[in-house]
Formats: sequence, C-alpha cells, structure tokens
Amino acid sequence: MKFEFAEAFLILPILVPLLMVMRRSERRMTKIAAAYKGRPPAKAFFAVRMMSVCVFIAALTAVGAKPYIAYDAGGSFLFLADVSRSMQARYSCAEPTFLGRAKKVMRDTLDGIPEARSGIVAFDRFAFPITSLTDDHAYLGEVMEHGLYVGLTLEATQTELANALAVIAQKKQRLPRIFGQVRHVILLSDGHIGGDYRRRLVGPIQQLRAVNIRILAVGIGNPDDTPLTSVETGQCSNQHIEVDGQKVLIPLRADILKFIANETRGQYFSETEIDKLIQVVRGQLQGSMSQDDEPGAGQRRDLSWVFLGLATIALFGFLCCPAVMRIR
Amino acid sequence: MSFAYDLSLSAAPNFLLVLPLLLVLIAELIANRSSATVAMTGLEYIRSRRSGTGTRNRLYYPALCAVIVLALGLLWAGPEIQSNSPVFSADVQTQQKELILAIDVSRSMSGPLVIPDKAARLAAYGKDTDSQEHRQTRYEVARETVYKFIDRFPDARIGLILFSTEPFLARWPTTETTQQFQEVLEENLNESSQLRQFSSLTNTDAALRLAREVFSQQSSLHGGAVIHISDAEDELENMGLAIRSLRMDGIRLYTIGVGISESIVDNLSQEFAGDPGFRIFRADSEEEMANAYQLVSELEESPRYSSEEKAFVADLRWILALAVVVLSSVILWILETGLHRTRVAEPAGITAMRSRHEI
Repeated sequence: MKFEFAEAFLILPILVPLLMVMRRSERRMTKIAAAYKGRPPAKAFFAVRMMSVCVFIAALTAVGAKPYIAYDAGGSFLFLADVSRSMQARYSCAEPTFLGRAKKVMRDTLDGIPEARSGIVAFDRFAFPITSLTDDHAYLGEVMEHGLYVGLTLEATQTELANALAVIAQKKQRLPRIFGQVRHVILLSDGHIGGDYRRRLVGPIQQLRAVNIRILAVGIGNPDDTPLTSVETGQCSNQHIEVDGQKVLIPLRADILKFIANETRGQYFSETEIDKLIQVVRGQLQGSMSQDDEPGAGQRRDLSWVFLGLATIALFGFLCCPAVMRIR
Repeated sequence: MSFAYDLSLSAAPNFLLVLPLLLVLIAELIANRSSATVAMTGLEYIRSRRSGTGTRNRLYYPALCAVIVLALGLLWAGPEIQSNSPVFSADVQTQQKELILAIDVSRSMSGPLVIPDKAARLAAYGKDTDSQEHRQTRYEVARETVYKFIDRFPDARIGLILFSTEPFLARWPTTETTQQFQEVLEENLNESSQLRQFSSLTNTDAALRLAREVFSQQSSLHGGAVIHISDAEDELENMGLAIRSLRMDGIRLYTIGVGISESIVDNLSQEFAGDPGFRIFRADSEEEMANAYQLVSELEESPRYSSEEKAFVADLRWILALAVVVLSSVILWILETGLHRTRVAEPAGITAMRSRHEI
C-alpha cells in the first residue's frame, strides 16, 4: 500500500494534546466520582475512548493521505477476438450472441487478473490490433462495448484464423518494443473455418512458436450447431438466416481450437472454465515475469474506503462508551 | 476563460453507512433524559447555577457528535468537484479534447505525393528501380502527419479510422497514444500488407458517418474534431451531407486533401464559408502538408476549442478528511473541557432503594 500525499501524516501530532486533554478529563471524572461517593467508570472505559479517538484520527489522516494499492504490471497478454459473421450465432434474440459471450469471457478474465496489461486484436478476414497494450481495464471495457462488433472490417464474412495467428506473430517480430513481452494470446472463437485447417495453420503456428507465443483457446459456442438470427438495422428478428432453403448453422469446432492450443503449447478451455483460465494465465504470467521482465507500475486502486470503515468503527466505539458504562 | 464548477457526490448512498451512529446518538440523548445516571456538567458550570443551561448542555454533546458523524457521512458519499480547469495537481481529467483521425487507405494513396516533372521522369527512365530516389507515398506522408498530430495533443483522446470502400474503426478514442497507433499504422500499402488487401476505392461519406457514430456513442462528449486526410473526393453532394451532419452535432471537420482538385476545394469552401468549424486544405507537397498540419493544430489549440472540451474532477475526500481531523479534534477538546460531563454510576445504596421502589 502507498500514499499519494504522505505529508498528510504531519497532522498526526494533533493527537498528543488531545490525549492529554482526555487524560485530564479522566482524572477529573475519577475525582468527582470520589467526591460524590459514586463508582467511577472502569479503566476500560477510558482505554476504549482513547483508543477510539486515536484510531479515528489516524484513519481519517490516512484517508487524507490518499491511500492506494498499485498492482505491479504482471505481464502482458492479448485477446484475439473473432468478429466474423458466425459470431452472431444464437438460438433466439433473448440470448447473447457468440460475440457477446466472448466479451463476457474477456471481462471476467480482466476482472480476475487486474494487474495484467492486455490488448485486443480483432479478426475476421483481416486481423488488426484495435487497442494498444494497456492496464486501463475501463478503456478495454469501453472498447468491448462500442468498438468490437461483427462487421468491424469489410470482409466480416470470413474467419481467417491462420491470417490472424500469423499477424500476431509478425507484429511481435516487427514491433518488439510494443509486443515484446506478449507470450500468451487468449483466442476467443467458435473455430468455424473451412478446408484443410491443419495445412493452413501449420505455417502460422510455426511463426508463433518461433516468437514464443502460446495460444490459450476458449471455445465459444454450443454443443449443438447454432443458427444465425437475422438482424436488420440493429434489430434482432428471431428469424434464422437461411441459404438455399437451409438454415445456416454454426458448429463449435473445439477440435480446431484444441489443435492450435496444443501445437503452440497452450491450453484449451470451455466458456465455463474461466476460473481455470484465469488461474493458468496468472500462473504463466508470473512465471514469465520472473524470468526477465521488469515489473512496472500497473493499475491503482483507491483504498480510502478501508480507512473510512476503520474511522466509522472507531467513532461507533466512542459513541457507545456511555451506553456500555450504563449497562455496567 | 472563466472557472466553472459543479459540486457532486460520487457515492451518495454510502452516506447511509453512518445511520447507525446517528441512532446511537439519539439513543444516548433519550437515555440521558431518563436514566438514573448522575450526569454532572463541569465544575465551572455547577458554580454558575444558571437555570436551563443543564438541558442545553445535555443537547450539546450529541449535537457536536452529530456534526462529526455527518462529516464522516459526507466523506463516505465521495464529495467531488467537477470543473473546466484543474483545482489540484492530482485532479483526474474526465473529459479530453477528442480528435478522430480518418485516413484514406485506398489504392491511390500508395502513389507518390509529389509527381515528378517530365524531365525527372525521363531521366529515371530505364534506370534500376533500386537506384531511383525513394519518393514518399501519399499514405506515408499522411501517416507522418498523423504522428505529428498525436504528438502535438498528448492529453487528447484520439481515435483512428482507416477507410477505403468501407471504413474501419482501428482505434476507439483513447488517451494512450504514446505508441502513435503504430500497431496498425506500421503497415504500408505494399502488395503483401493487410492494408493493401483492405484498400480499394474511397468512401469519404461512410468514414465521416462512422466518425459521427463514434462521437454520438459518447453521451458526455461536447464538440470534438475530425481530421480527415484523403487524396480523393467523394461525390460533392454526399460529402456536403456528411459534413453538415457532423456540423449539426457540433463536430469540427478539417479535410486535408492530398492532391484533390481545386474545384472541390473551392466548392466546399464556398458552401461552408460562414462556418468556422469546417476547413479544407489542399496539399500537393510535403511543405503544403506541413502548413495544413500547422494551421489545424493552431486552430485546435485556440482557447475557443481547447478549454471548453475539457473537464476535471477533483476528489475532495482527502482534503475534507483532513478538515474533519481538525474539526473533530476541536469538538473533542470542547467536549472534554468546556462541556465536560462527569459520568458517575449511582452508589450501591441508592440502587438498592430504587429496586425497593423507595425512591
């Protein structure tokens, strides 16, 4: 924990005269009780009052010093999000689309690893980084909400997974200053690609291995094939898209995603295994950090509420003292 | 520039957390009235024997404690001040100047900015292409200009749209611009690049519409500007419509036309002559491009656009917490000296009499 304005603690000596006054008050109370042949309050009464005052003043001073916790930047990873047309699949308008589900996985992962620097690469026919690597998770959330959608680039009808993997490897090679620390890519896709995927993926996988990048693939989809619901001018109509009288159905190609994960020494996860994914990513990031990376200043979290809570409890104790004495 | 501010509470419901403390105070006030506890005020006061003061003093204790409790409640509620200029050095800038850079990546942008004259072309004829002087392409010059804009406005929120037949939102507006969007812009428009595959014709109208959508999705935003760099003109009518829609939303537009025809510059300049929020520049050389960049930057840096589009939030919790430290110290001092209350439990004999209902 750190304090932004540690100078605020210079106000703490104010406690000395306060405690002296309270001590004098204690003596006076004992003296008057003796004079009236009454029972003076127990020592604990004065001790609790003094302690309450000390904690209250110290806690509020800490609030004034602006306490925060800064997570060390714990390594970097990229999300590789599929924004091809198939990611609009869902059974009905009441359900989130595959892309909506992928966004939830991304949000949960970011919440689970607040110290990480991450970025988003969107892919369909093309693949482009749509954010820089950042620890500003609020910004990443904003991008997920507004800047990550099906049809981001012109050719959203295709899923060129091989191109996306190759682009990531090339970016790391060409821009080591930006992507040099990236060793893990979380791929979020239904894996819906056609043709001989092994042949098409072999080159990009080799490129990824050459630049030491592992793919942690998260399969987005349902066990059964999922239809594409029709969306016109932003409105979902619950009608399933058909081509030549046949419903367009999107399968979850876990086999392809597992192949990519295994070949890059990564791992495959289902949507329900986010906790496991977070655990693996965190473990691997820490492992990679300890090797040769310098930890940097990551995200900050305000801790004022902790000290405000302490001050409230202390004040509560102070105010309850007379009542406790009466009970006694 | 006038200092405008607005006080607010970022977590007002948290104020309720001090409710139990207020209840304790009320209970204490009631108990003090009815209890047999002999509550003696300060000796000075006993000496004075002024009538009515005892009741008042009985109220002072909970009243002064209530002041501390309410001050604590205020701290829980997260007081903050929103202003158009920073109050403290640590203020958070919640609203920045917003710029969207819309760059044309159509095929024609891969051509040279400056077309060599006839003599130079003849001299180069038959020579190996490697030995020929490398001429910057329009895209490269546009990219350099974009880098300059990014460097010139380090505090701005900058977005990036690449457009050809369709626009592509390459970067949702961000303040993290230290990498100058190189993750995307490092690619050239050469044969093997993705940008080349993406590039085709020029659809300025769609790019400006996308820019407008990006602005409209940020409800708290006021104003903002689009810097549009392109080498081709869309249909004049379409462009006019797109410009008008942007201007209706209060968004400024600067078009830097790389090699665009003079007629379109004249037509658009005439059409929007009375509108200071639209400027069109024609750049046929690196020097003209630099001049256009300079003019746009100066316009955007003018107080008219630079101050109104910024907002800062000063967290008042920390400074109020220090004030509460001082305030509660003073109150405690008063309670322990001037309003000292001696609490003495009644002697055992009196308690016994009370239990026998003799008193």
